Amino acid sequence: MKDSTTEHTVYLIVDLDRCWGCRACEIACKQELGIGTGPRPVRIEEIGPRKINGKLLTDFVPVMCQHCRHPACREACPTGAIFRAEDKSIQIDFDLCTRCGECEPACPFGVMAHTEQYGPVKCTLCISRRENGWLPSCAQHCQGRVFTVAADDSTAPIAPGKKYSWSTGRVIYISDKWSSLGKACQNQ
Amino acid sequence: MHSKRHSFALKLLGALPDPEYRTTPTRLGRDGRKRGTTGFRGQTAAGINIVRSACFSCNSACEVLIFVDKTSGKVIKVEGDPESPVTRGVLCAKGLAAKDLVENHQRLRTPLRRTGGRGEGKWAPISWDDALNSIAEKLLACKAQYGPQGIALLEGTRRGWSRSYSRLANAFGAVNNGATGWAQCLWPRLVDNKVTFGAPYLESSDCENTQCMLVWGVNPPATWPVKASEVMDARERGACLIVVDPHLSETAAKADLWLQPRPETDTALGLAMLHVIIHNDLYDREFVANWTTGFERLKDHVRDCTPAWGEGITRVSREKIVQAAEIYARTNPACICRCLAVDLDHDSLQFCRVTSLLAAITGNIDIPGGNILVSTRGEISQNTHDFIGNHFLSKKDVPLRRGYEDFPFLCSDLSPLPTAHMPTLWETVVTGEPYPIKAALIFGSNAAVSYSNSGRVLEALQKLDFLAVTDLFMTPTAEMGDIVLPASSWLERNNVISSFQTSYTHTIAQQKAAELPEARSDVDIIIDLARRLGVGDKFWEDETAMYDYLLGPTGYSLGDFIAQKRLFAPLEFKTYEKSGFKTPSGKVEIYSSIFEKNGCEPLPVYTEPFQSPAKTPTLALEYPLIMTTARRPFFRHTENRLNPLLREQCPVPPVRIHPQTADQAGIGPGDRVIIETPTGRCTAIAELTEGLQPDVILAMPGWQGEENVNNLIPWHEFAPGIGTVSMHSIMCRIRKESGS
Repeated sequence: MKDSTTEHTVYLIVDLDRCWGCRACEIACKQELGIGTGPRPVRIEEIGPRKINGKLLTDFVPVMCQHCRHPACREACPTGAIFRAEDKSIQIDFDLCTRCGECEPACPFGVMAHTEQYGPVKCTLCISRRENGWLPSCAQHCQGRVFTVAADDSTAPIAPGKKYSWSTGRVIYISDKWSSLGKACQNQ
Repeated sequence: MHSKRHSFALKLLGALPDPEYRTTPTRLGRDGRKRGTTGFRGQTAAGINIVRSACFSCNSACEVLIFVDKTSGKVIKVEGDPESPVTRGVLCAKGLAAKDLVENHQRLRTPLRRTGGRGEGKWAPISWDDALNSIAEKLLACKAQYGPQGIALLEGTRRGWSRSYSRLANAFGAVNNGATGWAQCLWPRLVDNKVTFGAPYLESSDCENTQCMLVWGVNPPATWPVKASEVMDARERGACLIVVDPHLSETAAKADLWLQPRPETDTALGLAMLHVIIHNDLYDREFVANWTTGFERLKDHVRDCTPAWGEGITRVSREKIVQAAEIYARTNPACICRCLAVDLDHDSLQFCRVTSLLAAITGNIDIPGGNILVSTRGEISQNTHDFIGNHFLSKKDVPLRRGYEDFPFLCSDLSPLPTAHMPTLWETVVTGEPYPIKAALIFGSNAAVSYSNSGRVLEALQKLDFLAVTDLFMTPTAEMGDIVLPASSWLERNNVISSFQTSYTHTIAQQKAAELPEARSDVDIIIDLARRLGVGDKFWEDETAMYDYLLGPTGYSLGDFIAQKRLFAPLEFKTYEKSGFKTPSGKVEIYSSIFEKNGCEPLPVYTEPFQSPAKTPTLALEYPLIMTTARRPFFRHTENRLNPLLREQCPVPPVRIHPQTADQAGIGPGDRVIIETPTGRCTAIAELTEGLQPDVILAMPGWQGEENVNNLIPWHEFAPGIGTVSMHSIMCRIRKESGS
């Protein structure tokens, strides 16, 4: 019997080999969270062009809340408004949030935006969409089909099909190309 | 200093030493991976209507869900439709940001009549009746005074209504009608398809079943979302991706092999590839023997087009030319995915033909994984001489059409849809030679911005006695009008969308989800205007009746079709085995008999661009850089600059420059620069990239006024046969704006 809570925990797998920087995820995210210009909860970082082994390369890395194992934002939050939800994603309780802005500088990835209009804004892994059976908006709309939503299970290897992976929480970057990500974890 | 995000991205890709973030192994469920297949489980939130429609932010027409508040009727958001068999839920930035179209406070909300001087910006609201009556009155008066050739009916890019507009022009006898694009968008490919394969469309690359994709003149992630997904899926499945682009585009960045030719030398590249394939015996002997004519002549023709010859012209190394040709020819099946950029060159017809011949001699025609001949799902095509009412025109008037003598494949009955040659037409408006053109009606076109040689077009607009413009916003073109009509956006109309750019197998319904009280759909306006111009008998009762007529053979009414959402017909392969190719010879015409008869080169011949260091060395002394253009995913043509979310992504017009060139000119990233040609100048913001050759710069079209690259593009020469304006090899110079 599986633990019923782990069945519902969520991972977002980001396949770097498939991203070509169309930015559909950025607009999809803003629309889902109902925010206008300003905060960009997910943003494509364009790296390059640069020469590697004589070949010019441009790469695109979607960077959003990593839903960290040890979230610095949560530690920085004086009121405990930042919490780990049942699905293991990191969420903000706006009833507790005092809009002090401590979370923004604390984030090592620069993905927590704090604005006067919205207070703290970040990726929610589209928790309400998933509850209704929809994919997170970035995952649904991405032209490269970069994003995959996965559920936790303790029997299978991480990120099947790709050589390398990297994660510090619930977002897992995978690639066949970027060995800097580290080796994929084999079935143990 | 890099942002935290950027530093993190650099670390992930190993561009900075030792990621400081710890890698933690994680385990995932075997069945846990779900890719874009989660069905639409329609847990409709209370109070929300979900309207299924199709986006028209571009011709891809991706299927969407429009979320509408039941009480207020307000559009809440636009999303991709996860149940769409075509897109599987994908939607691009433009579509996702489209709700701004209905809520933007700058939308035109009533017909307007000019009260001040032309272009002064003084307007008074008038009723639709008054507006349409006064347009009809002016056009009829102009026709009586100057003849039907004295009126220009102009339009922009296809919006589903476009062909009924052509029909209005032809019913009214206005031979001088057409669109900004046609000679530089799609028409060259359509002509090529017709003369080579006898087919209306061969733009259909079957990526799903292919092993190799030769992507030429298109950057799908920026401009063609459905195709982008297909290409990426095929690539990840293991299909080889070869990209031809002067710029390291998003697609080129993912290529297995990237060829970087000098702009507008693609025909030479194609000829050299044909040489390699033929002389290394890599062509499909059986298909060539049974289904083509003129192969032996082609073989002789490309004898001297060696890879070394190709390298000398294109700057693509001979090794890469051989490699690309061999991979494309040896990998079966292989498809060519081409789009707009093949239509924008000085030798557009030849460029299109050379790519088609690559597909033809390798037998990649109408087979799974190749380039397929596609058709409709039974509905009547709007893209016919019959639908646009070509037969309504009087035979004696047709030769009056501007460009008729010079560009038969654009302006005569040889054209997919006969139209005037726009630069020639604008010159006639300015000079009054050979006859006066005094009135114009413009639908869905920001002519003052979107035409090349913009300065001249503005001059022409000022010369008109009467101009009426239909658009969503008060564009620089509408500002020049006497009467301006508010059109509806795609969220506010029904439509039947049948296009190879959308799907090879589906016809898609567009369903009205919102309403701006005073805005009307273009088809509705066109039919109403036809009635007032006395040609209502050549039209339908209303737009619904027109769509009913188009859908007639399928057995569906518009209402039934919208309820059904889409029509499907499976792809058929090797249809030519039954009925042959619909060319004069019944075969693929490698040597084109139609071109031979009509003054075009029957086998593709390379010519230097109208402007290039080799062709115009004197010009190159003062204007040493070659300007080419490309788009980003946020804008289409001149659109979307008023959309805050899209504008945030690209707030200023960028120009990409090689760092070495920028350095020599003292230009740094973010500097405002001035690009100049003998024709005009424009400003842009510098971005530095090594993804270009040092003497090539990449600008972005569609910005208005000072920032419009069209200011730079002259009208000295046009592509033989079809009149394309060369837009990808413009000799220019660049400098930092003083004070920048």
